[in-house]
Amino acid sequence: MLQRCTIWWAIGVSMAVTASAYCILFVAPPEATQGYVQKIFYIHISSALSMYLGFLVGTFGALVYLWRRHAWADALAVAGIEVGVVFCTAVLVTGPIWARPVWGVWWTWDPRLTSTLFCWIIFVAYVFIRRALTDPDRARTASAILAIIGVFDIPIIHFAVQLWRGAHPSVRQTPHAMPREMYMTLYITMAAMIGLAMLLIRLRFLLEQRRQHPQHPAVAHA
Amino acid sequence: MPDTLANAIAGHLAFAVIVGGYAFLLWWRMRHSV
Repeated sequence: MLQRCTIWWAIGVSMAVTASAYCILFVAPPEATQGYVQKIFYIHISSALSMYLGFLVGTFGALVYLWRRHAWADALAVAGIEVGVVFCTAVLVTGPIWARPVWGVWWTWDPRLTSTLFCWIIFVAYVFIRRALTDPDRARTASAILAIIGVFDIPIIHFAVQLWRGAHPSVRQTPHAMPREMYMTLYITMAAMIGLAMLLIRLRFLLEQRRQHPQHPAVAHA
Repeated sequence: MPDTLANAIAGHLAFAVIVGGYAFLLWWRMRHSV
């Protein structure tokens, strides 16, 4: 049983995702030089933002857990990082599908691509470390330390294009370069994906709390 | 305009499978957690 606010939130996210799909399909025009594949742009950027959100929330939980040893902080860390890994996977899969017809290659060892792959490996290791270590306290501590190491890669990903000028384009380089319909579609998709990521983090957080305290009524009916 | 429709469809399908699959898995795990 979920709280009423979570159910309303899920309904709102469903409406936002539907609006985003409508805008991508019917409102945003295909780009003149890249064609329809440029429409991946909207979900690619929005997934990257959701990935940042997941990893930052997760690392905040990991920091609080190392400092105070609260079980809820560990649940928040697991929730944020697992959702971050899902959106990071989406970024790493949609990127090459977009790059193939535009760059002519699926993958290049560009600084942003490499640092994103590195980030994915660290946080996938976080998920596996928790399952591999049998002692729960050791698993929580070791994974929290790994999360803090991994979060240092986030600014490297974000500023890689400005710092090293690889093949990956920067949205900042071309302000107001797109038609209004494209910006509108981008902002609606960003809002939908951030809302979806927050909902998934909330649900994963509740699931982890149920595992930590299976008999607690406040958790079982949260 | 180049013909890149197949890649556009593949990209959106891949996204739907990854994120939608995780959301479904999460719902399934929550349903069987209590």
